[in-house]
Amino acid sequence: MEERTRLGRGLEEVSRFYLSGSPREGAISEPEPAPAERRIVRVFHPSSPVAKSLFIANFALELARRRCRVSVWEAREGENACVCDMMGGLVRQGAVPDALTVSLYGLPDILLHEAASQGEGRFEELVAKASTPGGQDYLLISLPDTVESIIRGATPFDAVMLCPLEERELLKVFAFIKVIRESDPASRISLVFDSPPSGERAREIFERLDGFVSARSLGSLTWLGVLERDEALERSAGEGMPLVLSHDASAARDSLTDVCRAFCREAGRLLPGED
Amino acid sequence: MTRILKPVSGKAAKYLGQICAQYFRESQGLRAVEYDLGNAFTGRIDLLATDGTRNCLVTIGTADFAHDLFRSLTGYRWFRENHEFLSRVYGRDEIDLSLPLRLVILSQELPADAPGLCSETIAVPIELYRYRLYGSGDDPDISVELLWSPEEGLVIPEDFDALRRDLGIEAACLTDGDIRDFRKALGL
Repeated sequence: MEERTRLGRGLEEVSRFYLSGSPREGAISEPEPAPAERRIVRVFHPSSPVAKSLFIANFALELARRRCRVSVWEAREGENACVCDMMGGLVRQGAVPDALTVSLYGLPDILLHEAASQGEGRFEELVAKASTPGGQDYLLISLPDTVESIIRGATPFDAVMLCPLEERELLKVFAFIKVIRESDPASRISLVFDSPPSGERAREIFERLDGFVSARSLGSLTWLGVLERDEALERSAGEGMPLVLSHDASAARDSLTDVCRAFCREAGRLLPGED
Repeated sequence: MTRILKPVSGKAAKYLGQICAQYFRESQGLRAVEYDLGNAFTGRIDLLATDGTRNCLVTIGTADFAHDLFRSLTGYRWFRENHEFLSRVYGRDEIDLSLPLRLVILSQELPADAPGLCSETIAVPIELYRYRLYGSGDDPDISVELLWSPEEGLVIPEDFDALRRDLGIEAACLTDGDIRDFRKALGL
């Protein structure tokens, strides 16, 4: 006990601790900085705005379930169903002007903003919130998926690409990746394969695409998984009730939650005990 | 392979033979022996060329493909019927008339099933090319692309511009080589 007291006093005067017995030279190297937390996420789908809206509706709920405050910024694409439609059964006019709200007991509200009816100032406000270090605000962006819209956009974002396993769609996704990384090398780009013939095939194509992107000095990609489609998913879209809220067994629901969990794992947003 | 040739002065139609001869010389290693053999009544060959292993009877179509094909076949008949005459005219150092023959047709528009039909029904080996004229009539550019040959079969030319346009990815500045590399890397 006497020893411990003396040791304790001595420690106060020690400025560096060497945990290894081996001698060290020079200054201790600084730990690797954690990757910058980015909570502005743009979701892409090269061919299906509806599938994109469907994914965002479920993704927003999964983020909210992990205590994130989610705003969705969406530009409606033609007559296609948008995120509001996919969450139609839950949406109400909320306290925030010009935004629809999804309120579920015990979860932070999800705010849905339609880009056409909002000013640029509102978007910047949401960007600022989602850019606050250590914050809980996420901004999910859904815009028409064009190369031009990426080039024009001034706001850096991370990207989630939903991708069918077809050559043309994959090429389009590669074009998006190229343009995103050329303008923002720090962006995190994650891939989700939309109803591939098999998970193994999707993984194989992902590895090849990742290798190709890396070889072109465009960084690396993150694998989030595959999305299944089934009758439950179709029904949920028709009813405006996101599938992740369902308690019924469904391959599509499981794949959605797996993908969202993979995203949250990458972002350090998993709930305690979830991993 | 698509080759964009340098513009030539003068009327395009008048010089098509020379322009195409340039293409066949550079691209296929053929040497032009004679232009405009025969006549419109009994059969005409727009260009007689050889590479030392075969002789090519080239028809440069200026009408629809059916007409171009008919002209090519009548030119072939004329060539066979006038074999002795041609042997007297040309020395063996110019062309060896005993070499195998090949029909070569250039047309502006080919029906999709033209290669299959020609290869199934015509005993003489046949090559089909599509050519296109660009620019003004007096100062044209010409592109020539091989669509069918007995050795390579159907050659589907890749229109990368159309692909980029269809996908709306022109602004990403992916080159033809990028797209080829992408396909190769992904095994597509």
